[in-house]
Amino acid sequence: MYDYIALIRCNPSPGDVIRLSGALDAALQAHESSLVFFHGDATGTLPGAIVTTPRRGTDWRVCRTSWVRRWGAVEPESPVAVATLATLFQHMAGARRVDSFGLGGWFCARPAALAENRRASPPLLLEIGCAPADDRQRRETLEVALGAAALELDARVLFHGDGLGHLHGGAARGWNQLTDFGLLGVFAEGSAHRPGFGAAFQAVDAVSAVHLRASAATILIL
Amino acid sequence: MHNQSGKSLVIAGKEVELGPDGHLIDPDDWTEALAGEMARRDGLELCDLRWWLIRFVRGHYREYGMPPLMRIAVQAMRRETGIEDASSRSLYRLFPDGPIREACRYAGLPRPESCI
Repeated sequence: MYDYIALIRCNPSPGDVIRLSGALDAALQAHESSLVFFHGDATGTLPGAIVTTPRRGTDWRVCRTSWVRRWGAVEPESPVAVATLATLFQHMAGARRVDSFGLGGWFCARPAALAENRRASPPLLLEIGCAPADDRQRRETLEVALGAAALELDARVLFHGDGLGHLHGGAARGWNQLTDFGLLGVFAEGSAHRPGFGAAFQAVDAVSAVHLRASAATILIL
Repeated sequence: MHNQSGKSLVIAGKEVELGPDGHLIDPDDWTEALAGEMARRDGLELCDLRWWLIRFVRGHYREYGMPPLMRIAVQAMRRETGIEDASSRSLYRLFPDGPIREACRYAGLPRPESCI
């Protein structure tokens, strides 16, 4: 059980690494037990840049699949260790605070506080507002959603802005399985009048998107 | 069940290369006869249910560009085979070493790379 969880998927510029380290440091100091989970592009050089010394009460983990894609059989340096997305999701419900440092921005969620006030709300919203830079990034973003689906979490996916690029043409086919098999609700903000989107994704306007965010107990910016 | 890892198989006079993990190097080499021969060498009989899973995994890969989640395969098994109480355990009975991964191998698909 962790008080604090950080999901890091961004690959920040050198200047932003300092900013991210500062934000992360402050959060880790404020919590007794923490999980920092690097996924996707963040499993490149970022762990080496921000994990300099072991910190009591903090587990540093990299997504195994993301890591192997970039580093092959090389093991991460201690205190960083490999884990799966299941590790991340299994602990998320019990955390007091969940920060996401995503490709589409940073967000701080306080799921426990929200859960006390809102009953029967979907606990997890995966928000995608950044276009995939390449096929690997496209795939790894989808894998986060599939991880939530595999664990049968009550989760929704909201695409907006440049994130709608994930749903264009043939590239959307991986996402189609979420709706074809009823695994997760997939919503696309502002897609109603754009060509090339499958009917499987529910088009929503800005107001509905705000409602989706407001009803979520945890938001992860991917 | 990986006794042909890193080797090749000869099917109908054609040599087919396998990677170190026992998966086909070229998925286009796949035939049902090849799957049968791989299973025979593993000491495994491809019963109807195993064939169902192999074909389902191939179809899912063609449709979505990746193998199915276990959850999806279970859902499809209930729907398509009439086994109403199908579960992940049912799939593990078919391929104890990992149903989706093993079905991918016999289906001529790459080893699933995702940890989910």
